[in-house]
Amino acid sequence: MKRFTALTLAGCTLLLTGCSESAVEVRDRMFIQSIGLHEDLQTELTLYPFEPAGFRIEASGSTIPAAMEEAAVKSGRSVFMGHTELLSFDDPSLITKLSDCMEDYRLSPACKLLYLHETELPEDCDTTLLTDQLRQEEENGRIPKTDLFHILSEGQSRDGAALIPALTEDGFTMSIVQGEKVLGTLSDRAVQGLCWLRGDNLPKHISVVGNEGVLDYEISSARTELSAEIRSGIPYVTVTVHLKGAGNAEAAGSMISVLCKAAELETVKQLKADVIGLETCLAKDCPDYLAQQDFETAKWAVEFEHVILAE
Amino acid sequence: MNRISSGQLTVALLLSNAFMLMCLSRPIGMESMAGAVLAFVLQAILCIPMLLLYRDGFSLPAYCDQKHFLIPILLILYFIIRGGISFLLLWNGSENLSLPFAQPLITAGMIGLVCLYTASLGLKTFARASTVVFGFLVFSLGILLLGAWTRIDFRLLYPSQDITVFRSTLDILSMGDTLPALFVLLSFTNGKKPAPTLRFLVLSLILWEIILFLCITVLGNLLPTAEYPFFLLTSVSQPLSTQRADAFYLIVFVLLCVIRLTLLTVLSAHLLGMLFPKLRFRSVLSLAGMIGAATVLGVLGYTGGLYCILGIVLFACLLPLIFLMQLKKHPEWKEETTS
Repeated sequence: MKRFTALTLAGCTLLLTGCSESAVEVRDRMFIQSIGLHEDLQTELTLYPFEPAGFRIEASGSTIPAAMEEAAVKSGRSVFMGHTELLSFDDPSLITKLSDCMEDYRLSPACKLLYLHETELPEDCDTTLLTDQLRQEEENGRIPKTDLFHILSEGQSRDGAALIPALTEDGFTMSIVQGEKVLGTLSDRAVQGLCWLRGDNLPKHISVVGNEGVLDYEISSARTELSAEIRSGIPYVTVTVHLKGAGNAEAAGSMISVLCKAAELETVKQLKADVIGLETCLAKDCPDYLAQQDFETAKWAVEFEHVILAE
Repeated sequence: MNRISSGQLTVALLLSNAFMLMCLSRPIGMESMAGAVLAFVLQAILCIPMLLLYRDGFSLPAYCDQKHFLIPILLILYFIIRGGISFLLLWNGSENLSLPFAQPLITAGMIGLVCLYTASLGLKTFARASTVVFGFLVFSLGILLLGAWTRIDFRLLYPSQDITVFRSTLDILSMGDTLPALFVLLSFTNGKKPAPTLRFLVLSLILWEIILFLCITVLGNLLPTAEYPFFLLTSVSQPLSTQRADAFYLIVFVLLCVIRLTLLTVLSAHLLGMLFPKLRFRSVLSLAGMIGAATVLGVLGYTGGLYCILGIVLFACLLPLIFLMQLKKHPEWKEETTS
């Protein structure tokens, strides 16, 4: 009897949870699929809810919270961003505010970021399609895999450089952001090279156009390892790519080397930005060198070597 | 008699330790993992006099029956202060875990009520409740691992420039305030005493190592910026895209807090009962003391530090050592004399 009473009371208590002042009914909550942020004199916010398709809310305010409040008033509902899939913005300074956004609005760490590089989203933009397109680019190893958490984490690295997907008039590419400024936007080759250097998501096949026509290599599995050693005071980073697959491995290996070189040149050498995990690699393999040497000098001095091991 | 099994003792102390781990707000690096091992080895060494004492048949209730007031009162004060610190950690942690509480005092009041109810049911019921919460903890650890799995980066396991193994050892040792609780709880435990002690230390070490490993390999560059690494880890560890796991972590956090506060309340109330058998509302007094301590410590801005090690060494090692040396002269402190 005691057990029955206890269970009944516990069950009744569960029923009371809806009586909490902070509880919000599902119909009174707007679940946001995508957010567009535009910084001008004010913060302009565009919210794209999951449904109905095509519906969006525009609001502005002196700060993001102020714009968010206005959006909630306009929609007549509480705004929930815990499941937001895409956050697009045209002002890199907004990146510095994203950490607070993740905390305040419970933005998902897996939320994708998209920097609008000299372009803007059309009024009738299908943001769900845009998110899916971005994911497809990543899944096919055409651009490196990133998300809010990745970007925030990279932004806290020693040089503060972070790799961000960017949308240009030609399609998706990658930009490097440092603090509140964009250091540069990368070429297609460098972007593909970064996929190999970072090793998070890799393409499923490599096609090399040569004298003998198009040589294909179907990749069944691949992984990248970065290791470093100091030789005559110079840090040498060896990029070892382990490849498994079928096709012309030699041509594929040469192509991977070319792509990696393009990425190293554009990021570490030209933009002086570490978005390949150079700091982690040096900290792990040459901690004394990194402790003694300024990281900027290390980036300037570093030499890369490529080893492609195909099975 | 109000006694618990050795398994229940293990679980109750493990949960209390888990709460401290959740509230960890110190710098973390690979050195912390080595520091955790050393800290738990040191805790095991500190327990040796205590275990020898109980092997020789020591009984804290029997000691209290001899009208010795000083040591039990010091222990009560220690538990009340640790309870106060736990309240403070809950308030601070609640800001990071988006607890839906309006005011800290209401939080303390509501959790205090739950603790009061649990404590009023006695040690045995509390021990059973601990077993259920342990299930929640294991399940939440599974969710955490599932969500964090894809983000683990082994390349981030490299020595840190700013953190030392020595400092990490001291930091983690200073959070091992469950040892004085173990000293009191062993008086109410059935069976052999070393087994639950070792089991509790080994399980706690495993839990610490898992969480530290995840914090280092998942949080990466964000780790130094995280005030509470565990809470940042939970916000990152979302295994499902359609359902956030925050609510579950929130439940586990509050449950662990309730278990820890109840443990401290039960122990101080028991000690009060041994000293003053006619005293009523002992649990209420203990909890009120903890909330009072939390208010004072909150004003002082103190939530723990290396000084805590002194308390741990005193109550978990030095006191048992003194008792051990005096036990031959005082056979009345042994369990047999009270029965």
